[in-house]
Amino acid sequence: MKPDPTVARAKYLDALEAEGGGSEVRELVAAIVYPIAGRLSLEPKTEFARFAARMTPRVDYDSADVAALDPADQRTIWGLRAALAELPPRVLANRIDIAFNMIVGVFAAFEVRREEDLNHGPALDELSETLIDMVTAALTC
Amino acid sequence: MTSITTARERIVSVADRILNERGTDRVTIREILRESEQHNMSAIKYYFGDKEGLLRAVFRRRRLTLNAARRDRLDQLEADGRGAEVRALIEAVVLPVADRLRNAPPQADYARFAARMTPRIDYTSGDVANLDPADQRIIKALRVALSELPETVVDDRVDTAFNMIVGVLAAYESRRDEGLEYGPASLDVLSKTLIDMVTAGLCAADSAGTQLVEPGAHDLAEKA
Repeated sequence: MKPDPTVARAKYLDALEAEGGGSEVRELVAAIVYPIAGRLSLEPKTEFARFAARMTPRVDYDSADVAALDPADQRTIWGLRAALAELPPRVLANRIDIAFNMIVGVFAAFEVRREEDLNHGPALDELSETLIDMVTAALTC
Repeated sequence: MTSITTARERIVSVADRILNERGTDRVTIREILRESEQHNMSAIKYYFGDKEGLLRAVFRRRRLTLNAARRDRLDQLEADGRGAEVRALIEAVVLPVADRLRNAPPQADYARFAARMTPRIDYTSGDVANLDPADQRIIKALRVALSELPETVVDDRVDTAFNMIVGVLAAYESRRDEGLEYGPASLDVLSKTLIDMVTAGLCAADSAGTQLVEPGAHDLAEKA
C-alpha cells in the first residue's frame, strides 16, 4: 500500500503534540515537508510530487473555511495562522499559500531530476532540511 | 535553399511562438512543422532527436530572452549600488519572469514549462560556466553575499530558490488558466511576497545540528 502523506502528517502532528510541541512554525513546516519526503523516499518511480504540484494551485489556502481540506492540512494551517498571528492577515494568507506551492514545486523538481538521473541538487534528506529552513524563514520574516 | 541552421532555428522560433500562444500540451509536432513550412515529418528527429529535444531547444531560446532581461536589471541594480544585495538579486530572478507572465497570451504555459525544464539546470556546480551569463552573475553574487554560511548550504539554498520561484509562478499561471481566484490578489503582490520569502529563506541562519522534535516522519510514512 502506498504511504499516504496526509495520514503520516496527522501522526506526525499527534506525536508533536504528545511531546508538548506542534505550535511552532518550524514544526508545522516540517509536518508538511517530511511526509512528502517520506513518500518520495519509499517510491523511487513516483510522480506524486508532480501531481501534487499540478493540483495544489486548486486549493484555496486563504479561505477562512478550510473545511474542504484534509484534516491534517487543516490542523497545519490553523497552527500556522495561530503561530503567525502578529502578521497582517493578508500577508499571512499570501505567505501560507505560497509556502505550500513552494514546497510541492521543489519536490516536483527533485522528482524530475531523479527520474532523469540528473545528479545535481540536494539529495532528498538535505532537500527536506533545506526546505524546512527556507520556508520557516520565509513565513516568519 | 534553406540552410540547416536556418531551418532548425525556424522550427524552434515557430515552436516557441505557438507553444506560448496555445500551451505546450495543446500543440502537436505536426502543427509546428506545418507552421515552420517543413514538409518532412522526420525534421524533428533530424534536428532535435525527439520532441523532448525540441522542447529543450525552445527552453534554451526562452532562457536567452530571459537572460537579456535579467542582464538589464542587474546592470541597473549595479548602477543603483544594489548589485550585491540578496533581495535585489532575487528581484532580478523573479521580476523578468513576472513581466513575461503579465504580457502572455491567456493560454500560455510559460511558467509551467519553465518549472518542468528548470530542474535540468545545475545551480549547485562550482563551475557556473554552463549557465546563462546573467544567472552566472546572480549566483556568483549570491555566493558572495551568503559567504558566512557553509558552501554546501548556500549551494543547496540557491538551487532550491530557483526551483521554488518557478514552482510558485507556475501555480499562479495554472490558477489564471483555470479562472481560480485563489492566492495573492495580483501578480505584483505575488512577486513582492515571493521576493520577500525567498530572500528570507536564503538568508536564514544555518540550522545544521538543530534538533527538531523528531518523531520520525519517514518511519511514520512507512507505517501509513
